[in-house]
Amino acid sequence: MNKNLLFNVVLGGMIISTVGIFGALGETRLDVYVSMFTLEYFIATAILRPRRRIIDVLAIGLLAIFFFMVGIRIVEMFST
Amino acid sequence: MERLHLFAVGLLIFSALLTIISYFLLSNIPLAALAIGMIILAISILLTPLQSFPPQAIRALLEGSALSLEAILEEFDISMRGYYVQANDGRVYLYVPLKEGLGPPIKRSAPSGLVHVEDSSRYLSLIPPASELTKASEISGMSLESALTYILVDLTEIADAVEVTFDEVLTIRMKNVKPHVAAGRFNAVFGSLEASIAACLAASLLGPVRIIKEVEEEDSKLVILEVVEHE
Repeated sequence: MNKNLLFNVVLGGMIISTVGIFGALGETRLDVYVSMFTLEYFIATAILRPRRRIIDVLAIGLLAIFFFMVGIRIVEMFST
Repeated sequence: MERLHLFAVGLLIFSALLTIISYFLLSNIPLAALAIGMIILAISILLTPLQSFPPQAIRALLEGSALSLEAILEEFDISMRGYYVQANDGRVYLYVPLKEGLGPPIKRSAPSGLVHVEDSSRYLSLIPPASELTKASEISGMSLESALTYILVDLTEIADAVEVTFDEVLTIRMKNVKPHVAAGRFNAVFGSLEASIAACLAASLLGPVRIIKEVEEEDSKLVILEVVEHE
């Protein structure tokens, strides 16, 4: 199978599994899900190295969101 | 637009609506998370090139080029190993000395013909199959190991992994090298196809190089290069 296609199949599988497992555990924090998606995206990218038509804007966006969420958590910790 | 990209656009619109509905109206976090996941997947599909050039085709083109060079070498009856040198035009050339004991040419101007003359030294100048690959924008700014991995592993799938060590000589270990067309004179002058690609990249990043030897191991191949003049 073409590794670009394989990457999308693997990523889709990982996302569905994450939602299934975390949903079954009763997780209701959206940032936990998004952090996991970010982690999975970077792991799949590092292993399969898919080709991109342009610069990987998704990776940049996910990383920015991840840092934003971590920042909010840190602010929450200091403010309590 | 291709079908897969149409599907991705549809998935993106549907997932965006589902995210809004599940988060704001239904307050169902797992469903909202699933919708966000689908947005990520849709964007990933949109970023994926559909018509990527198959690695087998790239390998076949490189092998075809090697066979053409083999015919030239056969005609000139040349079997001495050459020097890979990057000229001022950014292209890497192979200079094969036409006399024993000659080093690489000192001037970096592009050769004007098949026979390059510098002072009293004469070289056969040829363009290696991977010469143009060294100018690819994707590898600009990369280290030698990253560039080799991009060309040999990702683009052409000639090897499964590449490792570079540099002490007195440059040693490149390639894992599980795929077999390809055998061309005796080409191998003698340019080195094997994978070694020639590695030498081209090394010449463009480090300066003039020459392939000293290639060692076949159980599941890997060692290509040892001499950097003649470190820039």
